[in-house]
Amino acid sequence: MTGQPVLSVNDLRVSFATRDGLAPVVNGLTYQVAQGETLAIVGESGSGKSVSSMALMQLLPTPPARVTGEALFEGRNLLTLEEPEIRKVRGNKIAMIFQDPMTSLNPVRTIGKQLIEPLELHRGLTGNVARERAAELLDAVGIPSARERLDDYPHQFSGGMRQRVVIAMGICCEPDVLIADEATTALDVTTQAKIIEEIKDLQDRLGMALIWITHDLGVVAGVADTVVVLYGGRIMEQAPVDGLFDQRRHPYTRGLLASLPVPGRNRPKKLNAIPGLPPDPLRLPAGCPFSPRCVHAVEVCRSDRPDVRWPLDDHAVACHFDPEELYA
Amino acid sequence: MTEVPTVAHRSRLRTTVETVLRNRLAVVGLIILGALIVTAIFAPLIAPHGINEIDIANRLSGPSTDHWFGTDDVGRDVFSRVVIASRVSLQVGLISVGIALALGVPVGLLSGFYGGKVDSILMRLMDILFSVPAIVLAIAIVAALGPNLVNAMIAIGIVYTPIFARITRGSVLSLRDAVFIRAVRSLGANDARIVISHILPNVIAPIIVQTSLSLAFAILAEAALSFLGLGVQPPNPAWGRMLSDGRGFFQQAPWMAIFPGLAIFVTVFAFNAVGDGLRDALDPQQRSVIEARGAGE
Amino acid sequence: MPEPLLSVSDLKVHFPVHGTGLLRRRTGAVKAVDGVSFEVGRGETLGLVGESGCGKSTTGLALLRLVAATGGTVSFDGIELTSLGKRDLRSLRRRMAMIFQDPMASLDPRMSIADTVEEPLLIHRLGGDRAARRRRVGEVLELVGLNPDHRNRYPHEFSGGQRQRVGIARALATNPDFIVCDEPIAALDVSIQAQVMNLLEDLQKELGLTYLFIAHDLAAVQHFSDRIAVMYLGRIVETAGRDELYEDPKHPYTQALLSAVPVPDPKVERTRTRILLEGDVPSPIYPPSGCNFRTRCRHAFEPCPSQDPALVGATSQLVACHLYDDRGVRIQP
Repeated sequence: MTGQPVLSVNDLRVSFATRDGLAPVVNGLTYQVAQGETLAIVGESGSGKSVSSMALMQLLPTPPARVTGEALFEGRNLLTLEEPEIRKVRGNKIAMIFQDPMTSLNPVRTIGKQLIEPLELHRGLTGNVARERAAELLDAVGIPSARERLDDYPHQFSGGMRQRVVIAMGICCEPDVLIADEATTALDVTTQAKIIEEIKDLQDRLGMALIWITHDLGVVAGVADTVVVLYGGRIMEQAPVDGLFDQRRHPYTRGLLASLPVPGRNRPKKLNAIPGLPPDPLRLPAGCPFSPRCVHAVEVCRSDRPDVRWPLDDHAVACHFDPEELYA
Repeated sequence: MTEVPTVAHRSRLRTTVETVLRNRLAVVGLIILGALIVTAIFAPLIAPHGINEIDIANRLSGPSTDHWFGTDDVGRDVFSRVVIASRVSLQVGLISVGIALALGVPVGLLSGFYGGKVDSILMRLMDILFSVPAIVLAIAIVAALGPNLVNAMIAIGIVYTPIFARITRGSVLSLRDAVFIRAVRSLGANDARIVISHILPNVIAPIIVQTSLSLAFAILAEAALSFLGLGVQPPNPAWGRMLSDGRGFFQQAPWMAIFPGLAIFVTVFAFNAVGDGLRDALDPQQRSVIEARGAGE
Repeated sequence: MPEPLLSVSDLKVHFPVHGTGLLRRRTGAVKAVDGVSFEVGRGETLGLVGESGCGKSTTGLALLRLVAATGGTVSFDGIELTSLGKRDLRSLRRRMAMIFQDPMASLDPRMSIADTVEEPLLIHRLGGDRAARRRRVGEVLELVGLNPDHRNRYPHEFSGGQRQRVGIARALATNPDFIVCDEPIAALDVSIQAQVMNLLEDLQKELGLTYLFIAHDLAAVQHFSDRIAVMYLGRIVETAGRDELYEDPKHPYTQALLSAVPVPDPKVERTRTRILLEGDVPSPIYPPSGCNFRTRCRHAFEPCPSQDPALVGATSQLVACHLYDDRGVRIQP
C-alpha cells in the first residue's frame, strides 16, 4: 500500500432476510485502499462484491438488508452515519458508477440537467457557472462538442458515450474514492479499452482511490494495484496484482485463472473448468464456501472455516492448507 | 456428472396458494365465497320457506326466529328468497364472465400475436364496445333481445369482452418478441403451437385476476339489470329486483332492501378481495425467488 | 474438398426505417447484414466475432430464417434455404438448431424442462410413442450433464449454467447436424463458462456436430473455433484460421480488436501497446461509403471512400481491405 488508507473497511457483513431464511451475502470483508491506489474486487455471482460496495454508501434497503461492521472514511464509520450525513458523502466524496448506463441515467432529463444536479447539491453551483463546469466535465471524459450536447437526452448517445456521461457525473465533485461496479462490462471491448484508459487518466489527475469491481481477470490485470478475490461473501485471496497472478495461492484463484481460454498455438485442448455450481447464499457450507467445488477439499474444509493467513506481508489466503502442500 | 439445483423445489401452485393465504382480506373473501358457493348449491335445502310462500298475515314483519330476514310485502320469507337468489347471481356471474372469456381472450390473442390489420380491426371493435358505459350497453342488448335471464348473461358477457381482449392483447404484445418464443420458432413450431402452448400459459395470470374482478362486476351488473326489471323475471327472486321492490317499502320494512343489498355488497367485496390477493400472488411470485438469489451478487 | 455443410453467399438483411409523416414512407434501412459470405464445413466450428451492432446475431437468425433475408442465398447441405416453402423449411428445422444467449429468457418459464426438451420431438413427430420420447428426453438430459430425475422442475429452479444446458439439450433433441450458438456463454459466470464450452466441444466430437459460434469474447472464440470471421458494421472484414488470425491479423479492425482484449497477465498488460479506435461505430442506416471502417482506420487512403473492398486472399486467410492485393499481400505501408 502506497500511503495512508483513505477508506478502511473492517469485517463488513451484509445479510438479507428472505422468505427462506437469513441469507448471508457478505461475510467479513476487510480491505483498505489508499489515495491514488486501485483495488480490484473480483468475484462471480454469489460473491457479494456488488452488495458490499452498495452497503458502504447505505444504498441497501434495511430491512431486508442487515449491515454490520466498519467502513472508516475521514475518521467516521460510513455504515452508521445518519441519512443527511451520508448524503453529503454520496456523489461528493465517494462516487459510484454502475454497469448499465441506460438505467443509471434518467431517460427523460437532458444529460446537462443530470450532470448539474450533483454540482448544485454538493458545490452549490448554479446557472451558467454550473453549465460551464458540466461542459468541462464532458470534455474531460472525451465527449466531443460538449457544450452543445448538454441539451441532448441519454438515448441520443451511444453506449460508450453514455457510460462516459455516467463517469463524468461520478467525478464531477472530485471524489476521494470512485467505485466502479462492472463499469465496463456492458461495453464493447474496444470501447472498454478506451474507457479504462480514460478512468486511469482521471485517477492520476485527481488522485482518487479507485475500487474496481469486476469478474474479468483481464481487466483486473490491466487496472489493479491490489486484488481481493471473493467467493460466497468471503475473501479467498488478497494480494498485489503481480503476486496474485504469479503465485495464485488459493484454489479458487488458481481454478479461475486456469479455466480462462488462452489464445495461441499452445492452448490446452480442453479448458480446466471448475466443477459444480455458483454458491447459494442460503445454502453455504459451515466451513469454506468454496469447498463444494474445490478439488483439494477434505473433511475439515467442509466443517471448519479457514482462518485468513498471511504467508507474505501483503498476501493473504483463506485456506486450511499451504500452497506447497496442495500444488506440489 | 449430475448437479443439484440451487433453489428448493416448490410447486408453483403451492407458492401461489401460500401467498394468497398470507393476505388477510383475501382469506376473508375466500371464506365468504366458500359460504356463498355452498349456499347456492344447497339453496333449496337451506331455505326454510318456499320463495313464493305467501303469508299475508305476516307480511312486512321484521326479522324473527321464523323469518331471519323478515318478510316482504306479500309475506314471503326474505331469507329464503335471498338464499335462492344467490343461485341466480352466481350463475349469471360465472356464465357471463365465461362468455367474456370465450370471446375476449381469443380476440386478444389474435390481435396481439398478428398485429397489423387484424389488430386494428379487432381493437376498433373492442373500442366501440368499450366506449359505451357498461350498464347502458347491457340494457341496450337486453332490451333488444328481450328481458330474461339468458339474455342478461349474454349482455353482460358482451359488455366485459373488451377488457379481457385488452388485457390478453397487452400481455401477448410484451411476450411476442420474447427470446423463448424465438427459440421455439427455431425448433419449427407453427403459430398455433406458439400461441396455445407458449403464449397462453404465460398470459393466464392477469386473465385470472381479471376474471375474479369481473365476476364482482358481473354480479353488480346483474343486480342493476334485475333492479331495472330487465333480468330475471318474477316470480324468480334476484337480489337486484329485491332491492328495487324493497325501495317502495323502505320506511315500513327496511329489511326488504337491506338484506339483498348486503348480499350484493358482501359478494362483490369477496370477489374483489380474492382478485386482489391473486394479483399479488401470481406474478411477483417469480420475482421474490429471483430477488433472494440476486441478493448474492 | 468435400461439400461444405453451410454455404452463405452475399447475405443481406436490411430492416426498413419508416418516417413519422402521415404516409410513414420508408426513409431508409438499417443495413444490419450487408453482403456476408462464408462457408462452414462438416464437423467444423466457424467463429463469428464482432462488437455490438456488427450484425453477427442477425446473421445467425437469418440462417435459420428467424429473420427474413432481403438478399443473398443460404445453402444447407445443398438445399437452398432462402426460397424454401413453409413445409420444407419446417422439416429442415429438424437438422438445424439454435442456442441462445440468455438461458433464462430462452426457456418458457411455465414449462418444465422435460416438456421443453420434448417439444421439438412433438413438433417434428419424432421419437415414437410417449414412453420412447420420455426415454429420449432422459438421454439428452444426461448427455448435457443434467440429472433426468429433475425433469419436472422449472427453469427458475436451476442456475444459469444449468439452464443453458437445458437449452443445449433442447437443441439436441432432434439430432441436428448444425447448431448456431449465439453468445452461448456470455451470460454465464466465468467459472461456468469453461464447463459449458467443454460440453459443447465434447458434444461436437461425440455427435459430429457443426457449429457457428457467434460471440464478442475473442478469447473464447479463438479457443473454440477452427476458423474465425470478423464482422464490422454488417460485413466480414477478415476470415482466417484460428491461429492465423491471432498471429497475423491483417485487417486494421482485427488488429484493433485483438489489441483491446484484456489479457489476464499484469506484465503483458503493462507493456503492451494498444491500438485505440477513435470515434464511435457509425450508424448502420448511413454507413460510410466504400470501406465502412475507413472513418476509424488509421491507414485510410484514397481508394477507401470510393471502393468497397472485396473479401479476398490466396490462402485460407481472406481480408477485405485496400491495403492488401487480392492475394492477401500487403501493398501499402
